[in-house]
Amino acid sequence: MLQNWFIMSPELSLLAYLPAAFLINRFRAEKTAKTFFTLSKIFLLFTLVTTVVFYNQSPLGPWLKNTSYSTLFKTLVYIVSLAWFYLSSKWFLNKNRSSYRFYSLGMWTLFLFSLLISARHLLVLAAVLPLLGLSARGFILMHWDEEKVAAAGRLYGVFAALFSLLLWSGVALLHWRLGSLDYAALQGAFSAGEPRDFYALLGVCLILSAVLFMLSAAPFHSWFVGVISCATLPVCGIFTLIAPIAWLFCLVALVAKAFLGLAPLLHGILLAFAVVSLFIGAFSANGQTNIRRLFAFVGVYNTGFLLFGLINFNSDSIMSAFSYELIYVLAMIGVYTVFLGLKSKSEYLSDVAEISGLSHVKPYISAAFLVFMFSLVGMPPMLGFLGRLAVVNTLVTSAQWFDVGILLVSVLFMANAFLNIIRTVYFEPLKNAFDRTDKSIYISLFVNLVLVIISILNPAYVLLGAETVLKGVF
Amino acid sequence: MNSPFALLSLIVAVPFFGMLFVLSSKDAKGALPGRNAFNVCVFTIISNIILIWRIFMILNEKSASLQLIERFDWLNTPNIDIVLGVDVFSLLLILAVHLAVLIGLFGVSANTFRQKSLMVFTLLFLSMITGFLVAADIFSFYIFFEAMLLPLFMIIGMFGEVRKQGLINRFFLYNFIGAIILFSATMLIFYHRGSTMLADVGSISFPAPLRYYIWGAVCLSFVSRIPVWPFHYWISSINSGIRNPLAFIITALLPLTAIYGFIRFLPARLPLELGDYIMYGEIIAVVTMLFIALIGFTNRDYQYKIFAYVTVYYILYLLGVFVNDELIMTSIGYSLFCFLIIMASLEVVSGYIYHKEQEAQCVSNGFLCRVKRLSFVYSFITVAAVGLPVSAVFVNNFLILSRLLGFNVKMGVLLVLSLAFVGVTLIQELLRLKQDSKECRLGKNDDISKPFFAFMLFVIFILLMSFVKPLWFVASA
Amino acid sequence: MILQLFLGLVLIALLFFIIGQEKRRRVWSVLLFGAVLGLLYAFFEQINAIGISNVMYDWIPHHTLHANLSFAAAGQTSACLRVMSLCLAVLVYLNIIYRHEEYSLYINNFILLNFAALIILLSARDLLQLMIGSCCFTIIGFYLINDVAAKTKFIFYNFLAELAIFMSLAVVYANLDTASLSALPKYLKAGHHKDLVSMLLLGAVFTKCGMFLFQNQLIGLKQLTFNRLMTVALFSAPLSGVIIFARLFPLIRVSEYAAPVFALIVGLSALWAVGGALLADSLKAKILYLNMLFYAFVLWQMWDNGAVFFDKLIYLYPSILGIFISFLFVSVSASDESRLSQMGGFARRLWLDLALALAAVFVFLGGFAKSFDVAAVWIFPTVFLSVCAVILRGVFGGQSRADERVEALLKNVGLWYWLPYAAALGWLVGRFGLWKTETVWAAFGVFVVLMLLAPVRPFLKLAAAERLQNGDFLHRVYLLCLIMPLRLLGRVLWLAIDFVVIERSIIGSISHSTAFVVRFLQKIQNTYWVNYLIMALFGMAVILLNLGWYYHE
Repeated sequence: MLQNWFIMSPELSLLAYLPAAFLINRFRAEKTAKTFFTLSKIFLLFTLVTTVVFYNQSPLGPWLKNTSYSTLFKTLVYIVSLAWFYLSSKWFLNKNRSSYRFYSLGMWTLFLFSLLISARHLLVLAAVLPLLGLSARGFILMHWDEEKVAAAGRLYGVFAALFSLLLWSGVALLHWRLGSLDYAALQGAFSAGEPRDFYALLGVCLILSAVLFMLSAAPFHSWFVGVISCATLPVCGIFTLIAPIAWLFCLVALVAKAFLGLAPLLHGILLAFAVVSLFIGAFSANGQTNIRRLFAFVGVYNTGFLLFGLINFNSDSIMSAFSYELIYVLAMIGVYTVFLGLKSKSEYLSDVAEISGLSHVKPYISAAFLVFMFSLVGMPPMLGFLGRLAVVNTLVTSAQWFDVGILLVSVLFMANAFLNIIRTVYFEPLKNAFDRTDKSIYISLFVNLVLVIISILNPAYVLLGAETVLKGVF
Repeated sequence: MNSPFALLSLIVAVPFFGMLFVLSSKDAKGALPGRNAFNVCVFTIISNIILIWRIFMILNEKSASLQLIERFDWLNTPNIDIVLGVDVFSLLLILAVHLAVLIGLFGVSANTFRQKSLMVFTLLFLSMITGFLVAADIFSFYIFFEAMLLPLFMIIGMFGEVRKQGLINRFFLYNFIGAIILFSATMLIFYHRGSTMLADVGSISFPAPLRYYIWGAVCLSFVSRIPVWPFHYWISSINSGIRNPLAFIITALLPLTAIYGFIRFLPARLPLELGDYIMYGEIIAVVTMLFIALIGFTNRDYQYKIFAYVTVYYILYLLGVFVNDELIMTSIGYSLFCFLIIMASLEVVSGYIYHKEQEAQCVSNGFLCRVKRLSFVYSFITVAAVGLPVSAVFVNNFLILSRLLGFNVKMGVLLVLSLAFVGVTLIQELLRLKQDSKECRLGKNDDISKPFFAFMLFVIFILLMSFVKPLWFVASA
Repeated sequence: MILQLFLGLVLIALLFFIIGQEKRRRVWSVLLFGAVLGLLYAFFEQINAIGISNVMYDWIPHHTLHANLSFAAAGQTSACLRVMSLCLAVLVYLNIIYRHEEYSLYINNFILLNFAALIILLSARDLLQLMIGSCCFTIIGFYLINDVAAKTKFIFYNFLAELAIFMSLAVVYANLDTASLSALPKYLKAGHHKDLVSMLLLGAVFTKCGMFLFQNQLIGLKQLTFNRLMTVALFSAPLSGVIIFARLFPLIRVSEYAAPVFALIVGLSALWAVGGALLADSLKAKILYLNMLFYAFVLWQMWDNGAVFFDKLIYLYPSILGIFISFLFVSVSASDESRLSQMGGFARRLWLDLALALAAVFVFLGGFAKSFDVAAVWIFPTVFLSVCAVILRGVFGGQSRADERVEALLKNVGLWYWLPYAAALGWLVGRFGLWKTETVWAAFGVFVVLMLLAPVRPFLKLAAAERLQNGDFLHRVYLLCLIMPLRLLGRVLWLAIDFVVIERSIIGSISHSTAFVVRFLQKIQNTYWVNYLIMALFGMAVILLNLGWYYHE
């Protein structure tokens, strides 16, 4: 029993932050964003260490299971969270607002993500998804000024509830038809094949729809775009950088550990969503005037790319999806760091026109922005190329020429969207007076770029370990 | 032969590190903005030229295979090694590219508008194109093939002075499509063969439907970088609009990558089924040559004239490549070496005249009557450009043309006609500058500076020496 | 030796380009003149002693293309160089003393380079060197001309001629796989596209020699000063043209069309030249037409035997130059007046000029009689000297038509002009014993009589006809038939293909359709309930469709 508590220590550490933060918020007079960041950092680091220590220890038997690959994803989530929490603290310091709610919700969400990643039972998923929906709504409503946020929050709330219902329905259907919600049992049932049970299949589809909704795959992406367009920067970061990693693994675990017997069905659904995501993402990113909305579509586009990487359901495909996600997250952290550096009269800029001529006054930030954007489009020698290479290689290996064609055509449209931003930043005259940028932003960008350079020069440093670990997924 | 001290990686890395130095450079008090960046850039290029020269010294110029091989384990999934290697041909092109950029730098030495950015992207481009020319495997080849688009796009966008911004997007996307097509072909080759060596590509026999796609994609991706109809429009609309000499030179280096790509990819013996396609390609190429030469002949814009000249010559080399003969490849290498230098020099001096014209807000007719130094340089470059015997272009173009005429005399006649048109176009421009006009307010003081003149004399010396012996700078040659 | 001479000439020219100053051009030119004379003297001394000088530079040692740069002075080449050296010395000297030449040092440098180019051309043993030599003449000619209109015509015509040579020799090389001139018989036996090669070469030679249809490049030189126009017309492109003709004669003759085309063009050239020389008012134009006539004769003679150029024709150059220089003297004496309609009756005042002109004619006659069988080729000297007689009659005979200024300043050429000139003529007469032939005296007598009786008035009446004198009929024809359609075609192609087809149709449609899709997507993705719902339903439909498909599969 005691051993189980120890094994649960990462999750408990995340939860333990909440009372600690509450006490500090309640009793400490001088508290800034840095205070909560420092606190979260301590708990998060402890979580990170213990996660690695208990990488293959599972606390709640069939409900939750930790494996080396789930640990890999968790570690990634925690590292990205740590980085983003640090950067978010700058936002709160600049805005001079309390970060208590943000960090609390953040740690709570990480706790839920941890459960999600370890989940080996559909009831865990059914329990976590609505809770994550609620905490996401909490994040969305953290904006204090705009009515738009309230509307987006309402819409998100309704649709999250709807998809939670769909998930529950799916879970109920599966339980009704197959009598078990355990991943291993489901895997056994579906691998047996015939006879095909429509209701069971419908259940799978409903569960999948909920996960795809949370993953913001198009056409279930509307909430994501709506939220990113108006939410605060720290919140946007949570949705764009951290959530996709967790949900990606959730999808991977579902597919690999529960529904692999339905590979053709899943392949069809994921392929359709991948194509729609790619095209909606790439086309819609063109013609956007709001830079965050634009990058929301980039997120949708990247979800499409990820799904393309995944649809073959083998160790190569999971590896390609993982490396793509890793590279995407690295670039997106860079992009959001740049967003944090784009301020005018203490306001963070979100309109494309507002950053016109940025390179004249902020050459380093512009250069970093340029690198990250070209990386996102997968252009060599940027790191993004490795992601593109990995995904395309998976498709080529399985002779999916049509998919390769779609993927590459979509890259063109995405590139065009980025070119418009680059044109604005570099080729157009300066229109705005930008505020001085915090040194920490430059340092973050520098560290990110160094990571990018190291990764491109020797990707084995980053990916070799992951490759070994991910081989065990399928 | 393996590379001592990883020299090939070094010549790719030097411009990259130079770029980092430029990024960190700051202007001295009282100095022109970007002067330090300019100096660092010049120093970097000269250093790399010395390195290239050193590589020439250890290269066996009689060997046709790639030498000084460097291999790096890069990726495990998929299993990709990066391999670098050079032969005399590629090294000559690297040297020519460096010299062309160096000449271009002199064309922008007085520039104060975002000079640092210009130098950064120039060095990045140089690093990428050098990487492209030393690539010995299909992946590094593709990576550098696409990677050079980024600095190119930035240079055109920031310094090209292209009036229609939309054109720049189209130009980039158009080139990007070419790169993406090459990417798909690269992946197919890799998937089918497993080998990534560029030298093996020509000898692979692919199954029938795949073969068409791969070779079609390879050809299409390369042709997209040469202004062959109907692809010429994207390139011409950009090139003819660029007013910055360095930006023009860098843009004009893009078709070189295609010519080089064809040389590296085309098998020693073309597959039979490629024959028909290549024939159609040749017809289109020749018609384009005439078409662009004619437009250049009628167009009044000097930049279009130079673009027409550059295009016609590149297509000539392209057609030469299709003849696929060892001697002609050597000739193309020697000819391209001088051609790039001539093109860069012509652009720089033309750009100088254009900017003087803009400053004085007058026509430049007869400008050369008043400025001795510029007149000499411009005349010499024009003479070299039209293919008269003052550079290696003359002899080597003779050999290329003789092969083409032997291959298809009708095509050869049209080729010579196109060369005649562009030659006449350039001479026309020279004569315009020599025909004195009262409307020209430029005078003696507008002549090129003595250091610039000295540099151009050095360039002229290189051209003349290349005429006497193409590899004159290599002791053993 | 020959290499030393070549390098010496190039180095002297380059040295004087660098250190020479036009402010003291005469001093520098004299130095240059001395250096050149010394160089030539040393060279011929050695040639006289050894008789032959051959140097071979292994230029392109590739296994499939072996090209050498050879420098040879032996036999014909040596004789040719001797004659040309004399002309070179005369031209250099003339440039020094001719007061209207502002850039005597510059032009003398180019004359030296021109001579060096001649060495390259004469020594050529392979196609590449031949082309290089020919191109050098074009480049140098371009710099010798200081009038832009003349320069334009010269360079365009010659550039196209070079390209024609370039292309024809490329075809030959493609067939032979060797650049050696000695391999040409192989091509004649088994080569392809002989007609093309022949016609291209013939066209190039005609262009370079300024024959009919291509004469503008040389007639346009009338805007130049006498010294420059004589240098270019006699010793630049046309000289390279005839040497190429001599060297590649077997290739030119190989086509069955070559003979009729040659006869037609050369015949028309002669007629045009005679007409032009008689009708033109300017002495400069007359020189150029006479030059055209001379080259028509040269080509005609070479058609029968290419070697005749080095054996005989080359010796006519000094005497032709002598006659042209005598026209220059007239212009110098008449205060630079060069229009025949503004001269006349100068015999009494310019007796020395007249004597020098007659002496030049005598030398020409003597030289011609010495080299040729006059009975066979009487027509050329007859026509040539008849035209000269008319010109001299126009200058020296009849009533004066000169204006007061010219009349007042009329005086014989100065000592610097006439003394060396007379000495050179005297040397030629004495050296070759020209005075000993009775035929020459008889012909000279006929010439004098002809000069006294020649009708001038009909031609003078046409002097005022502006269109005739300055009209450029051929240029207009080319403009209308060739350049205008080409320009129009270029314009149409530019507009039709680039703008209409590519910009408007292809790019336009892609841009519009993309913009439409983007707008549509923007519309359906606004933050409205209904949009969210539509999207969600669409997604569910996709899932259910897949489910249906899978279930029924």
